[in-house]
Amino acid sequence: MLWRFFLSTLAIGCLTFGGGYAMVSALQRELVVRHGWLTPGEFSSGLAVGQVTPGPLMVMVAFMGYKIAGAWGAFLGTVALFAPSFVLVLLLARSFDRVRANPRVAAALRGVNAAVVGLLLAATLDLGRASLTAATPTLMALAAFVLILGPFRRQPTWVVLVAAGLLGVALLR
Amino acid sequence: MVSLPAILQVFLKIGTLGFGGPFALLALMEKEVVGRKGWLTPAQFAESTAIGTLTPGPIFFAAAVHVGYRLRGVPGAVTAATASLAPAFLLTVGFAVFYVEVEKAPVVAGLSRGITAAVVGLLATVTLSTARSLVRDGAGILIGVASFVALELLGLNPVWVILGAAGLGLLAYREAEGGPGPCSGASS
Repeated sequence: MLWRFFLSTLAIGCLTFGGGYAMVSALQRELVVRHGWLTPGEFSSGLAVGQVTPGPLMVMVAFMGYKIAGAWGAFLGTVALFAPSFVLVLLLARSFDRVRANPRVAAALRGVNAAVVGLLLAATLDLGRASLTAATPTLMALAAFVLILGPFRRQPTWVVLVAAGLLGVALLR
Repeated sequence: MVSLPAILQVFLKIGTLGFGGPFALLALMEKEVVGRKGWLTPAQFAESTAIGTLTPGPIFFAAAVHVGYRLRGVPGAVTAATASLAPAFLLTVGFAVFYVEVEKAPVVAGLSRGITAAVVGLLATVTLSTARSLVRDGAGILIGVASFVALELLGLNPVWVILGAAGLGLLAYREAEGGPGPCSGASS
């Protein structure tokens, strides 16, 4: 289990170009949908922990790794997710300008960036199907969408998630 | 050359006080290493940020590694990487230990259901803003739809979907490329 979790996160760490949220959707797909190691609620709780702690959101993988495989899961999951980026930065450090100007690299990254939207949409729908099973959570999801997008007054993400958690304690037990 | 303890101290500070998402983190790092410490020029810092668009995962992390490397080679990179993640890692594991202790309580079930509902809303906003900023043409829309179908209907592994999208990007954009890059913002 630990080994399979490690390989899964390592693959995501190596190949999920397109920023932190691309990794969120890849992790959701792998850990919740494909392997069933986490429930949607556990995954979302991990994401909320990532939002209320400082540093990059993706350290949330430590929460998920701990839940799946204990302390080693937390440690190895974090290493697997961040080490590839670390190695690649060092490899690119000298040839950075050349690589960035390469039209093939730019074209491939444009393709990946477009795919990230598909990944995110899939993650949204998966989580929505699993959790919006009644009127109250559906209304809460809509409210969160409006508050975070902020046509009126934009709220910080962590504030919305914490408020939703408290509301959930009151309404969704 | 900047000393390792100095790098450690600055990145521990960023890792501890860096709340509020990727842009807040990058802004805090810039304030520290460009502003307060004066270790890098704004142009050098912008280059470290840009390298994050070429690597997987969070841009902030890649930028931190690059800044550490620039300041003091590989040991500097290791120090910056470890120090910027360690506070969040320890806190997160603390939360996880606590969560596993209390997860059976009905309060936690309500908490996690409430959070999950909001996370659906959050992911919808991220999907929307990502689509608006990254997909600007027909080929992009096709690749986005194709990857959605590959994931949802064919159940493909996301890693293969991303590799496939890179291949499709090569096919679709090789001739067109030459204008501004997709996410670097700089003209190539």
